[in-house]
Amino acid sequence: MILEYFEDRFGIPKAHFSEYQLYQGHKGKYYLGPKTIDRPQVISPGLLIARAEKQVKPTSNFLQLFGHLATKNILELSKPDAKRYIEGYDLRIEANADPGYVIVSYSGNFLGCAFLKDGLMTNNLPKAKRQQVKYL
Amino acid sequence: MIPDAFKKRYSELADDSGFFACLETILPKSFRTNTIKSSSLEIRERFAGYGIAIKQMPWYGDAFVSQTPEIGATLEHFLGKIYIQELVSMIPALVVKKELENASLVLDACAAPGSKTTQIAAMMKNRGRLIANDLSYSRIKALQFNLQKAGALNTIITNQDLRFFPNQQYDVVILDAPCSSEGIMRKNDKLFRTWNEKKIYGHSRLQKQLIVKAFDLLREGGVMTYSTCTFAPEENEEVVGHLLSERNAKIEKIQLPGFKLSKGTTEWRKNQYPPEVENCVRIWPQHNDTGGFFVAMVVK
Repeated sequence: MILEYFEDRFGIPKAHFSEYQLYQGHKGKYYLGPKTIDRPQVISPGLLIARAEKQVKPTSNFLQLFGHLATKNILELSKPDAKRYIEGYDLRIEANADPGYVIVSYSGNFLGCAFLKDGLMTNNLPKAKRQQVKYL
Repeated sequence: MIPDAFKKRYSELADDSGFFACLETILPKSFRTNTIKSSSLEIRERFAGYGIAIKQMPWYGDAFVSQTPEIGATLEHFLGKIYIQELVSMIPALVVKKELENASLVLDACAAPGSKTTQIAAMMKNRGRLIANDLSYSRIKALQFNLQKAGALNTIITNQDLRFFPNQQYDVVILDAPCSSEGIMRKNDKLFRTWNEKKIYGHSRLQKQLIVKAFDLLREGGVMTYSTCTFAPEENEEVVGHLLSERNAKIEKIQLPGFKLSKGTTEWRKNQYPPEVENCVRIWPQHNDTGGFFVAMVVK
């Protein structure tokens, strides 16, 4: 369901992940990891790619890694807006994307996840990832 | 200020007058290209575009040094395309690069905060399985953060005491053991104030247990690196010597063209270590303008 969602929402082909296995963790967390784990007491089995409680929310780490495979719902920012996004701000924006989760990009770089509704782009970067960027 | 007892302890072993002076200088900023997300060619071009001077290391094309303290304020750092890491800390994975490229099961036994783990995952090209273990639960969070940021897909995090680790046969084991950390004093001068010779003996006892267990987890023909960021022979050659007395291990020679390495010592204060420990390498800060380090490459 998660990989199908990525294909449907962003055009990221499900087949691209055939070398890996999807794992469901606590609190609706989904991981993409090695085919076999065969050991108990695992803290995390690969890359956290989404949280799915009421709806599927992709992680910024996943979109940074696989955003280049996407064909739709990509929001290209200007340089000043990209800086503000990385610092953690929400942005008022005129966007050519469907309402819902979008991939934020700047000059060919995939920065992370945001939620778009009524011209407001709500920042979904985790607080720990937000930072000041001087060079971009 | 370097403690007198520290100077007294190492004045003979360091055999070079530049050692103590170097410890009081600031360590240059270094980083590594995360090849899961980028290439060193791309990094060179991007930094040239910013006007930030970086120097590529001749002994490892993915390693760079910069005099600019603002490496962390680049888009590439935010995106996880580079990883800020001490040069010497890149060496354990580098010496087993070929083995990592072909490995299907690898253990990073004391993995947090994940500098070496992210490097290993990249060298494995995100394939196979990499078990990243650390005993300290409080350090697991940093390990998780760094692995996620690096885009590591092949890495499973565990939180167990290595001494009681479930038996599996690993192709490669990386044991960067907890140590007295004397080699990172250029980065953290507080360590000068808290330095105490007694800590060395406690670490040495634990390291001897860890190295034997780590060796037992290797498959026949598998390879392991044992490393510390300390100068104390009790935590280095003595630990490797202990493994040689307990198990049928072979210590391989390490070569890193373009980087000055010193051989392991076979004598320290009335103690003699087996001649094979000369194949281990000591990295003295004054030789390459780095931190201090020790690496042994062990084959089963």
